[in-house]
Amino acid sequence: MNTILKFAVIAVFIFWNTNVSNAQTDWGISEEQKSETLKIPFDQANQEAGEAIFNTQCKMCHNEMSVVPVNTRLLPLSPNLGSQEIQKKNSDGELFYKITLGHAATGMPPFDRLSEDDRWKLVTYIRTFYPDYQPSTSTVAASPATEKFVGTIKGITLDFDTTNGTIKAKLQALDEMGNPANAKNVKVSFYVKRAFGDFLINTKKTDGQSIALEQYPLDLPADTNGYITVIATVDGTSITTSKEVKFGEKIHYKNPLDEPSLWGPRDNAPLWLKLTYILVVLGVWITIGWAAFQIFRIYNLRER
Amino acid sequence: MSEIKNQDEKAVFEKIKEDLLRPVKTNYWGYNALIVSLLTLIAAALYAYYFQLRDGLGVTAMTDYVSWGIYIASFVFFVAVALVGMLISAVVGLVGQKWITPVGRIAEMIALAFVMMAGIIIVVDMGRPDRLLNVFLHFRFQSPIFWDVTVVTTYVAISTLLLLLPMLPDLGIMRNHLKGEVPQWKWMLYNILSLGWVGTPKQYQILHRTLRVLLILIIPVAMSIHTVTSWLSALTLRAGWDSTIFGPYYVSGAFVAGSGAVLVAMYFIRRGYGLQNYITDYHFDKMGKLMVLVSLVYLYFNLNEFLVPGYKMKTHDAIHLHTLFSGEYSLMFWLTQTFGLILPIVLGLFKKMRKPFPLMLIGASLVIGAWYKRVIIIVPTLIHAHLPIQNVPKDFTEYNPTGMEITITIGVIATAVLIVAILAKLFPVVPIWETAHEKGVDIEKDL
Ligand code: HEC
Repeated sequence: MNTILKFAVIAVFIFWNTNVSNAQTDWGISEEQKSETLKIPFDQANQEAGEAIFNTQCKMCHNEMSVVPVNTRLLPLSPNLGSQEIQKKNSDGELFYKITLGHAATGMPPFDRLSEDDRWKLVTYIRTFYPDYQPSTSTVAASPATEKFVGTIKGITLDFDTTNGTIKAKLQALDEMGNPANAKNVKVSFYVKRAFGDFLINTKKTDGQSIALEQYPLDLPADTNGYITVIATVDGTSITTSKEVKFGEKIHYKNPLDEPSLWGPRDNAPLWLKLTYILVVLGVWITIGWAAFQIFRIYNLRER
Repeated sequence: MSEIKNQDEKAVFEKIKEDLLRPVKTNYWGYNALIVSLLTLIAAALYAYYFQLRDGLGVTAMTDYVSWGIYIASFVFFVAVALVGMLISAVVGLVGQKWITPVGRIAEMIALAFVMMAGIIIVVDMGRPDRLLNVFLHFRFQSPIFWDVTVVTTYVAISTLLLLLPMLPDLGIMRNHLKGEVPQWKWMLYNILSLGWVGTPKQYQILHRTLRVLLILIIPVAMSIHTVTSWLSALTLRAGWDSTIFGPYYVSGAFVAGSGAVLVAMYFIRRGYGLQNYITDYHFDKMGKLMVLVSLVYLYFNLNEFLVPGYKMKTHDAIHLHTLFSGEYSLMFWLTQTFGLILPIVLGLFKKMRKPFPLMLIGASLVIGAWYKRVIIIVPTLIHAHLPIQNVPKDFTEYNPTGMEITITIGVIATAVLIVAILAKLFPVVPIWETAHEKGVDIEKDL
């Protein structure tokens, strides 16, 4: 009886241990932190700013956000943050501190290098995918909501300034009447072409002159000739254009075949291999030559 | 034997010389029949090879997947058998075993013939033999194929020397005693090859020293020829080849194949030439024991080669092992392992079985098994490519050698046998001087 009890205690202990205080699920966030609420207004400006950060800092792991009841992505690998399950489970404070502290055990990096304001902006953006969300702060922006451009975008031209890495995208647009117009407040996404797809740099809105400006990171890796391909797309349309410019850090591709190796071409045979081969072959063949010479000596001793 | 001892030295020597030189002088119809049939096989192979040259390797069953077929399997087989020269003369000889005297030269002849054919069958396996020279012109130090070319060439050179050098005293005797008894061209050949051997103490001294050096040198060279041959496969990341023990696995397997070949050759040479007094039951018994010993070593390596991956069953290894143990190749595999390894060991343990005739049968079984074993090592691995085999004709997924291929392969094997046969007819297979020496005759006086 006693032993059974002991086993039961141990079993319970193990069970509790693996389930409750498992390092896999513990983010190390205190109750106090959990109870924190949104610190900035839940308005469009903040949401859009959050989206921009999300696109460059989080999307490569978390992928496109989408509203789904449960998480459809493999867990715990970079879950779909639009999942209602996750949205419901996490308080604002929890989201904020999960972003801040990360989770080393599963690969979510800490983002304490982003400013506190940026992290709250991320929270506002994530919350836009939660219809049941009850924001604790004002939802109305201090400045009036930006008006939307009505009309059609016809085209887009790019102008890249290579000295400071700014790119200007100018839209050609027509208003409802079919007259040329300035397209204001139209979102333009800037990308750079990478090996396996287009990498989003940022999304910007056009100003009164139909111009969207974006700063490209100066240390952007370029191709072997020092070029990058910049791409701009008008959001929600198929209007896009690209341009090749000399910019960023030229990639110095080091061909492993240029180094001495066992798999490379013969001119790059490793020295030790050449030496070993030549020495061994020489040694053996000198001995064979010596033996052949002995035959000659025997021959010289013949009866004449 | 004791009666021979009682006669005076001269008579003993005369008897030895008479017995051992008889094959050189006599015409045997059986021998001629053998040569004719070998030449027929070779002619058929040349005819088939003409088609292969004209139409390319497409006449074989080799495909993108199974790009090494029975040619390369035969190559490995030839190299394996050739290793016996080193085993008998060098390893067993250097540890001081005296019984190898009448066997050593046979082993050396087999070694030379088979290693030459190893080179030939590589050329046969080439789609463009006219580009052979490129191997030397555009070699890579890193390529095991280049290492292989190097060691095969080196082994041919040393084997030639190891056949010729110990034969010098015999050639001297033949030059002195066979004038008029053999056709003039033959005598001229002996005369030239004897290199003016007169058997002075100085000549003997040079001979012994040179032989000693060569016998030591051939051990690492022979080890490397077959180790490098194994690396042709083992340096590739493929199930069945990706093994760290492939070198010793091949070398020990080679000794098995080689002792088999020597047993067969000993039997037929002894019968055909009536050399019962020289290649005795005692020699067969010793060879039989050596055969069991090397087979046991090979069995040990087999155990490692199959049990170790078989215990872990990594995906590709598992597919490979299933193919061998219970799949497509299981019949060939189990027959080979039984007749080419297990049975010879078990039978060889009985004294009754270590008699000439049973040992000849065992030897033949070993040689045939050795050839099939090489096919089993080479082909099944290639059938299971790493990437799925897609969009290719159905027959790409299997390998059944074509008639042409088989004819050519048989032709090359026949050539090896032909070379051994010619060497064994042209020169005394049992060394006269060593035999005389062992019987206490000082042959220097005779020369
Ligand atoms: C290196 C890939 C990676 C990046 C970059 C990344 N995450 Fe994560 N994130 C993960 C992984 C993996 C998890 C799952 C961790 C877990 O469940 O233990 C995760 C979990 C989360 C969670 C918690 C989800 C839950 O189940 O409660 C949030 C919130 C989150 N990430 C937000 C972000 C934000 C915001 C960014 C951008 C600033 C970001 N992540 C960037 C990999 C990443």
